[in-house]
Order: sequence, then structure tokens, then C-alpha cells
Amino acid sequence: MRAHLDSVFQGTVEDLPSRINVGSLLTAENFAKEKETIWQKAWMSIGHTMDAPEKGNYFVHDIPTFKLSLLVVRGQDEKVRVFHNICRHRGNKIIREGSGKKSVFTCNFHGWSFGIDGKLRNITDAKEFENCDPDQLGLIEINSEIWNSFIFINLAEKPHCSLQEWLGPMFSQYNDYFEHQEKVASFKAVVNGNWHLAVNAFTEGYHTLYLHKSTARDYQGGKTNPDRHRPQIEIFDRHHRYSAPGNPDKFFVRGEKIAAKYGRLMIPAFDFNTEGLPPGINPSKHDKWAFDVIEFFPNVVMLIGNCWHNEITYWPIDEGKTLITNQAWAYKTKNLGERISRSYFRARVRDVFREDLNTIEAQHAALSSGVMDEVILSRQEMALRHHYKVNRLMMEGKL
Amino acid sequence: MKNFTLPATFKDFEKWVPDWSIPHEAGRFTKRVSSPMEDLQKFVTALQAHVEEMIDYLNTQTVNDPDLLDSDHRRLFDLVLMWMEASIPFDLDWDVNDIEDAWPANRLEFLKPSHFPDPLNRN
Repeated sequence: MRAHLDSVFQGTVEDLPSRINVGSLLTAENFAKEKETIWQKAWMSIGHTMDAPEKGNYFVHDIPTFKLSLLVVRGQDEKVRVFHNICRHRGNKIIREGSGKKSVFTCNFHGWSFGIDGKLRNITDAKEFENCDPDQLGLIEINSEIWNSFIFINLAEKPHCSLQEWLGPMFSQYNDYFEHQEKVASFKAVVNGNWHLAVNAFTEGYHTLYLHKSTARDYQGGKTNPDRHRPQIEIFDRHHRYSAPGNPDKFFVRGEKIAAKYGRLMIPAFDFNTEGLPPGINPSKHDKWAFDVIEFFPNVVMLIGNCWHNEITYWPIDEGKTLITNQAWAYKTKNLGERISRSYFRARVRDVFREDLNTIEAQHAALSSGVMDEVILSRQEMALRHHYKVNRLMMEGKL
Repeated sequence: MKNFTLPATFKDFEKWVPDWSIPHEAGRFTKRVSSPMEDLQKFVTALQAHVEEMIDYLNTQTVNDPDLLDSDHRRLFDLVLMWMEASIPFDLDWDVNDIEDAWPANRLEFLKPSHFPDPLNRN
């Protein structure tokens, strides 16, 4: 008899529909409504406090969804603040791109300058300006809150809930995890596909047996779980999380053996060890645990392992185009052998990620044709069912 | 005057340095997917028996950050990383240097981690 593992579902799944009319969500009209009801109101991650580690460190984060540019800066008081990257004089973009360290931001157009606390410091030729109160002309600050090292923003004038409320039970489950890792690498891609399809590409494990057969053929499941069913799938109010099952009989290829000898195992190889990790990691304590996947609706999906995590961030550009950024984070190395090991696993997962990315455009084109009314989702795709429920409730103003 | 640019222990591998010691992830990836399988195979075979020896040697260095290595050691480090990248198609039994149904390499834009000084990903 073929082995089998039944997934355990936590949270309310009974009302999650197995058929979704995704095609109807791909229109310009629907996207305009989503911008207003979801993207303007949600808490969304834009980076890490580690990206601005010292006073005066800053980085620019552009949000193509609203043609916004944000300037994130750590002040003298160590607080990380988020401002619109726009000079209050004539609207020039103050810092074009990238990151760095400054004690003052000076607009190169007419020389207005702003402190790292956002306050207007100097108006050049100030006497020529009438009715101009410098206290009212600081950089425009955006609502932001920190979760662990993540910087979340909310574009609403007054957020309808706190970040803690937004994140729900997961808020307190990752203490002392992210801070032990460093950013290893990052890349981005602009995909000709709707943001829903882009998110969906990374939030179920059903596809891994087939799509990743060339790049990670035996990294999950194994003899006791050949269909790679998720041990646990948790549905929260707005977000969801599931664990991926490792394969205890995985065959280590030559490069993996070398990388394993010199460093810690990272995707697509796992050691199942979760000792000392916070309660949000492998929440069901599955003994062959590989990693968890979390969707923080609407703009982040994270793959979380025991010494690494991958962050995939989404910004819709329009109804048919999405900017996707992938950041790889991993344990801090003690020697060059660990660096090499870490880099190898990073290269391996890059190819896996490219396979995921490549499904989005083909799917968008086909679904936009209107040939199919609905997509069919299995119980292993419960996270997608939930994604569309959250989307609907937010659009209806009920969440 | 020395006529090699690797640490002396590994000077026999000097011929691979110009084309295969590449100091960032984007470059190594591009090299893999743009090289004929025959060339990848030659490179992988040539270093295969010595890769662990090279890593053991690099592990004797007191620095953990490759940017702090002297140029000879840095070239060796980058050569090992290239070997790890180039070994992938053979380890996974591909007939080609890249997966066939995947996001095109030239549509992937590599970014630097924002607080790192490197021009591109180097680890």
C-alpha cells in the first residue's frame, strides 16, 4: 500500500472555496479597486532595520504600485523612520536610489536640506519665500512599525489596526530568529503577470514533485510521504503558514556533500533540527521538517528554515505586471568554508526559484484569455483558497 | 618573479583563473549558463579532486570575509565558488547548462544587499 500523510489543518478552512474565478481578478478595474481597498490599507514589509544599521544609514525603497519612492533612515535616536523621498519645495526626488550614510539630506535641485529625523534644516535664500514655516515642511513621514527586524509601512492616513493586530498570533512567535542571519544575496524580476499569480506560485507544495523534478528532485517527501503533503497548514485571519516535509532518504549529490561537509544544510537539503528555535518555526514539531512557508498578505512570502530564510516581496505595477524581489538570508559564517557552502545552496535554490517564476507569465496569459472560468484548488492548495478569501474580504471592507 | 596569481600550493590551476575565477554571483551564474557543456565538464573535471583541498586551505585563513583576502586567495575562493556553480548541471544529470523551462537568465537582475559595500553579490 502506498504511504500517505494526511495534512492537519488549523483554523477555519470549511468556508474556503475550492474553485476561484481568478480570471475576473486580472482586469484593470479590479486592480484599481484592490489598490484602494488592499494596498492602501495593508501593513506591508519594505525591508529590514539591518539595512540601516547605524545612525544616518538610509536606503531608498520604491513602490511602483503607487509610483512612490520611500526614504528609510535611522535617526540619531536610533529610530528607523520612513519618509516620502520627495523635497517639500518642488517635489524633486531627493535620493535617486540605493543606500548610504548621511547626516543631512540635501536636495540637489535648489539646495533645501533635511535632517535624518526628517525635519527641514535649511531653506536656501529663505527670505525670498513668503508664508513659509519650516516646522511644517519636514519630509512627509509614513506610518511604520517594526516587527523583529522587519520594517512595515501602512499607506493609510490612519491605519485601521496596529501591526501586532495585523500579524495576529505570529507576531510573538519569531523573537530572536531573524537577527541571527545576514543578507546573502538578492535579485529582482519584473514579471508580466498579475500579483495574485505571483504570490500563488510560492505558496503551495503540490507543484514541487513536478515543476522542480530537475532542480530538487528528492528534497521533500520521501518514502513515507511520497505525495509531499504538508504536515500542517494553518489559516489565520489574514495570513497563513504551512510546513514543508523533508525527505530523510534524500540522496546527496557531489556538490551537496561538499557543502554539507563545510557548512550547515540549507534548502534544498535539510537536517530537520529545530532545537532552540522560537515557537513559530515548525509549529507542529514535525520530525522530518524542512522549512515553513508564510504568506504575510499581501506583499511578502517567506520560506523559513532553521538557519536561513528567503523573502519574496511583491509590488504590483499594474494588473498584468509585478515586481518580485527575492532576498536570501542565512546564518552568519565563521570561516570561508561556510561561505562557500552557503553560496552553493544559494545557487541551487536560485534555479528552483527561476522555475517558480516561469509559471507566472504563462498562467497570466492563459487565464486572461477567458477560456477558463475557474481554477481548481486541492486541499494541498488551501493557502491559495485562503489568499482569495482574504482578498475578497478586504475588498468588501470586512477585514 | 612569480608567474601565477593563485596561492603557490595551487599554482597548477593557474590556467583556469582568467576565465573561471569570477568575483560575484551574477558573473558565475552567467558563465555557467553561457558556457558549452564540454567546457564546463573540462573545468569541473580538472578541479574535482582538489576542491576540498582548496576549501581546507582557505579555511586556514584567519578572515571570514572574502573582501579582506589578498588577491591570490580571493582568486582561489572565487575559483572554488565557480566550481560549485559549474558542478550543478552534472550533479543533477542535466544534458544542458541550464534548466529548460525556467525564468530567462537575462531577465534576472542581481542586486547588492543594501548594507554591503560590494558592487554585486560576492558571496
